[in-house]
Amino acid sequence: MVVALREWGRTRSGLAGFIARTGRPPDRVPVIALLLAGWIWIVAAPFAHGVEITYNANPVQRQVLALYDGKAEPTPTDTRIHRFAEMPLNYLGFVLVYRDVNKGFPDADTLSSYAAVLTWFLEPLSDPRAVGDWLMRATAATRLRYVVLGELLPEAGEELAPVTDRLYAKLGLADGDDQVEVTIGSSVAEIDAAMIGFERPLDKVLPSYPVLRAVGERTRVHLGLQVRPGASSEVSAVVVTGPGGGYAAEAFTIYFEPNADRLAWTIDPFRFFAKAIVGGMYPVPDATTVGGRRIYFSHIDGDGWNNLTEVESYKTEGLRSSEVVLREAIRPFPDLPVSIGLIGCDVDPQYGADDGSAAIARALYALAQVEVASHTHTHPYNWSFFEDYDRASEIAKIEAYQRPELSLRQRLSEKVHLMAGKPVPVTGANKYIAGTDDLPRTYLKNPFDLGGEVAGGLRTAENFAPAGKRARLYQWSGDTTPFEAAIKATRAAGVRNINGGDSRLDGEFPSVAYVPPLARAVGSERQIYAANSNENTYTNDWTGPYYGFFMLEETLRNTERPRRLKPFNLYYHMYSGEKPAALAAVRHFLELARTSEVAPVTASDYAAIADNFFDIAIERIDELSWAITGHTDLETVRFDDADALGLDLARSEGVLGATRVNGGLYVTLDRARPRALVTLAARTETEAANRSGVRRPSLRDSRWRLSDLQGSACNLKLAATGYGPGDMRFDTMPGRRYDVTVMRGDDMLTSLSAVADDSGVLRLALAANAIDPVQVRLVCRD
Amino acid sequence: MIEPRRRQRWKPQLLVMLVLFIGAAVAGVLLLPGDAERVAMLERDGSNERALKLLEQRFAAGDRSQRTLYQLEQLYAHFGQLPKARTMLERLAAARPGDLVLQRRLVTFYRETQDTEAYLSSLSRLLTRRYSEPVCRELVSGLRLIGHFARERDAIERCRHKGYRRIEDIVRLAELEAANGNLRQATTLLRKVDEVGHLEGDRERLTLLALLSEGGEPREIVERVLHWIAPASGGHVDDRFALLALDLLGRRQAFTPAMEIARKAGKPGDAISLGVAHLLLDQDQTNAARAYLRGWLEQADHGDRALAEKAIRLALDAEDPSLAFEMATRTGLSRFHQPQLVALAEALAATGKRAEFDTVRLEIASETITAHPLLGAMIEFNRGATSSSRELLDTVSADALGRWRLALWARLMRDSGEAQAADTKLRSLGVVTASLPDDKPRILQRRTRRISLRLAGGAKRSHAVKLTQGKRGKAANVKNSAYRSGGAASRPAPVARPLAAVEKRG
Repeated sequence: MVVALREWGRTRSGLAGFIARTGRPPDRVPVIALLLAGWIWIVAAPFAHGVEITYNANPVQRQVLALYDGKAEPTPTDTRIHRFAEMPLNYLGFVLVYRDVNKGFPDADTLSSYAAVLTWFLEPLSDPRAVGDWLMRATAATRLRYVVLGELLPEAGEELAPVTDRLYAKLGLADGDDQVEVTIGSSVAEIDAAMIGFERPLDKVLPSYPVLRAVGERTRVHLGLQVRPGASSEVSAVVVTGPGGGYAAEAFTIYFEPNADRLAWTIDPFRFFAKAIVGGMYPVPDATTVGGRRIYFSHIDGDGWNNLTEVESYKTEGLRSSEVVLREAIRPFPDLPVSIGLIGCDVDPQYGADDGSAAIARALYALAQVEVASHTHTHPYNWSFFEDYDRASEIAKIEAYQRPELSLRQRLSEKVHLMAGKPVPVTGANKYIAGTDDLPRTYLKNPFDLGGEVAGGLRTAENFAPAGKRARLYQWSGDTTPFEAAIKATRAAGVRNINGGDSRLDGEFPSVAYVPPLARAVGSERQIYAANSNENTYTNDWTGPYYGFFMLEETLRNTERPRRLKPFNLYYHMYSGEKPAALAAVRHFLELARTSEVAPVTASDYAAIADNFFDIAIERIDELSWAITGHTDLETVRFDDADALGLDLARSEGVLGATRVNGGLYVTLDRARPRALVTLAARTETEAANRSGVRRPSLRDSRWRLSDLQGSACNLKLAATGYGPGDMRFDTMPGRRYDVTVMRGDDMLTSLSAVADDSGVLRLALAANAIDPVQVRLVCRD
Repeated sequence: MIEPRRRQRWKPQLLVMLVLFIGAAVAGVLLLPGDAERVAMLERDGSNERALKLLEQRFAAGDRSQRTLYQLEQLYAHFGQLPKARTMLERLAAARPGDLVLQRRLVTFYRETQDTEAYLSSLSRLLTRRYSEPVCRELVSGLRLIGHFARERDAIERCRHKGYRRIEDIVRLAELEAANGNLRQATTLLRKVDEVGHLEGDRERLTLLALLSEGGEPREIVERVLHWIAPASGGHVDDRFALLALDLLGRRQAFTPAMEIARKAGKPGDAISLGVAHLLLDQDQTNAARAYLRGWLEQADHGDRALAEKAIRLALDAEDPSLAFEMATRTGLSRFHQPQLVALAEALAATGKRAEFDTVRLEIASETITAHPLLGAMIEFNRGATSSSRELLDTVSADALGRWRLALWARLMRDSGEAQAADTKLRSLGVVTASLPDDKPRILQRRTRRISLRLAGGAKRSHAVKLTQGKRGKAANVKNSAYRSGGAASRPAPVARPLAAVEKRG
């Protein structure tokens, strides 16, 4: 009866939720009370149609307050928290809110919106007492976790001992008020191998460490060092987690090898933060996956648009690199989207461009799989120079810049042109074209104007696109550190923004510390980082080896397993069309994308998904049930270590299905539904339910993006968009046959009949063009 | 008759012409470009695909000449055919083991193609051919980064035998040897470095001291420390390092050399000579420490608050709160931080020094008193407010109290008529129940925490990194440098060379 009520209640918005949200499972509620409540509901429902029932759902706190010292690390981007810790925290679903301790602290009444406060101070603070006092008050609230990497308050004096003692107590530690500098004689007393030695084993020569004693039964020591031989009681707990949060002494966080200029984590940052902050399982918003598949997207910065190619088959024709890219890397791959960021001045005749440059742009943007984007107008290198722009200062730099000398031939040519009254050919000696990034931007003839740079750059790109095809993306140039007003200008122009980050995880950069977070906060704005590095970091800033970009494959592999950290992002410049090896690398990855089980999206779509990560709200309904809102673009939530659990479709709403990757459960939400209810149950149950055929098919994965699911178990339809064939898989009843049609309006694009195999997997390969939205309908034939 | 003479005249000319003709024909044939020249011409003309095809034909036909291998490798790299480029380069390198430039190219190729193991192995092989400091450095740092410590150790040792003298790595070798239990070897290495005057960093020197103390070399300890801290001409003794050394030696119970250093290097009333008291306490020579401190007090500079703080803590450790009080008043009570005043007041209260307690209590802020209920209980008790004193006392748990606080707690409990409860508690804590005469409180068999000897102004511990800051300290200075912002290679995008096309067309 209880179950029936619950099921019935779930078809209405109130009763089941009410029961669940009181936090008490139905079987603990007296049956009579439940029946009575249900009876009242049944009677009153027709009259209580508009009555809102308030839930006592628990919001899942996703924010972590990251305190930093602006004196030592001037902006959030500069902080070690952003550079190293934020990515693992994003992976765990957390959004970081940065606060400079020199500019005041959040009000106490805002603290309830944070899951934890995190510090990783480096230098002595200006006012350690103020910081310490605030931390004491803030962490006195038992729910707020306190996570410390490095020192609590660097070099705080004796007078702050009471403060640091209390802060240590929150972490489950007691300060031994000592530091072991020379570690000869020290040894490892206790080590959690799952936590310590993540990318590099604990150094044979123990680094200097503080003496801290673990207190409390619930303090878990992940690394304990015996201070002196034989003094078994004197063990210093240098990495701990507990109900109060977590602590890792500086020397055991990240190891830095100065001669190689490389880092490696000693602790496992994913595990450390999970233990220190995460209070239980919850659905983690995931920006790497759509439709159960790893996202693939590609974007090209326009640099090198007019470079002459050295690729043999095109060299004799004198083709530009951009045209080579068009012919070799874009036109042959209509099933893979790519965003192309044009540099406005690259097609400007006043800088030497001719009609050929423009013609290439037109040809590229005419292709259906190409997204229109801007890679700025004048290609700034140093964005901070333009935040408080001063033309006179720029002119001074131009004048001071040492230009390459003209050869005799060039000087004669110049004189002849002048004598003939013709424009002088543009050469490297043109003072308004930067030959290097010693000047603030590439094209310097006209004063910098932010409106022209952003909106103007977008308009220029759009001018070469077919009518109605809008620019959707702004790709940052140069040092990719735009200021707040610049990012704001892209939002005002109605486009997404991307670039920066330089993600690497391979033999040359062997640490997740080189995988950046999703975005960079700039004032109140947000810059979305590219998901992979472009070919520059592989080719020594395009000086060779030009085959270096092949090494992207290792980063792709390492960011897929054991954790899917980033999508598959193929990001390069037009000058890759200049060199045969570079072009071969690009083609290699295009072929790889084509044959991989990915979900291709545009770069602007990815930027929207990444941006949406920050807006997702989650409420815990009960132990295995959560409500999710705000998912306008991001459509995946992930449960880690969920081998024993599965998606309970019957008790979920606004979901399309689920798939498993790396031991985690990736649930696809329906973006068309403003609210999703995700409920898990025992895996055996959910799989059996899927196979029973009572429920509609559960989406396992899809190359196309699906949404707006409607219909019933045997007749459902979905909206779909995508690139390439519509490969998708559903979990349903073994042997069930489905008639599948793809429609656009009244036009049927394709249809087929498919049967689910013995394990209940229905595989579809829909040969239709879904770049413009289509509708997919599945009708079963039992 | 003319004909025979004519025949004789033509023959030599014909011969010469014939020879010339044949010679020209042969020369012409010889001047025809061979395959190698053709390949070079094709490459020069940018016809790399044809050049490659030609070379592959030659290779298939069995041509394994170095020139062919070299050209093939270049072209494969040019076209991005990396497995083939690697094969050719490896063949070349195998054929020319003595060609260091080629071997270095192979190393670079492995690094660029991210075969870390092959990269490190080839670096090691390169070293076998010829010693080079940069190669040693690269190999050692590469092995250290990936945590292959045994191989790192072997590499440093190999390099050292070949003449490698990079101090950081030699010190690192010593540390690795020590970590492996080879203390003698570690000591020898650091000695050698120090003998040539290169042991400059604090951590390096302290490491050597630690090893010498393990090895039982007191004389050498004294000599080295005195040498290190000896003043430069006209300068002062490096008391900062002297204190670090004394601290280390005290921890390692090398008291004899420590005392000798303190006596020889210190001046009456300075921080180094104060270290003698510290060392006496480490040896449980409390009475001696007390007496020493009294003498020290007469010579001390009372304007140095930091030094006075240390002296006060030592006096308390020597169970002489009166002496501590005297030190504090000579310096000026108002100059001390609240926690220090609290500690002094509590010790004075525990030993019944009412007048002194009241003097100190006046310098303690009311909010500090509120935060220290034990102190508050004492104040209330002195005021005669026994019930409020008791209330405050009840809020204090004896379980986590330091030595003096426990003594004060026990005193208050007894004075409140709870002697039995106090004794029970002390027994449960494993503390020997002690009588607490006013003037000579008996040690409660629990040591207070060890007080650092270091000068560093009030900081409980110095930043670990700074220990290694010396001339070569940069390496360990984590906070600097190479934690580049923005990820792997936060370099600006290279210039697109937008004019390249125009220049070439022009």
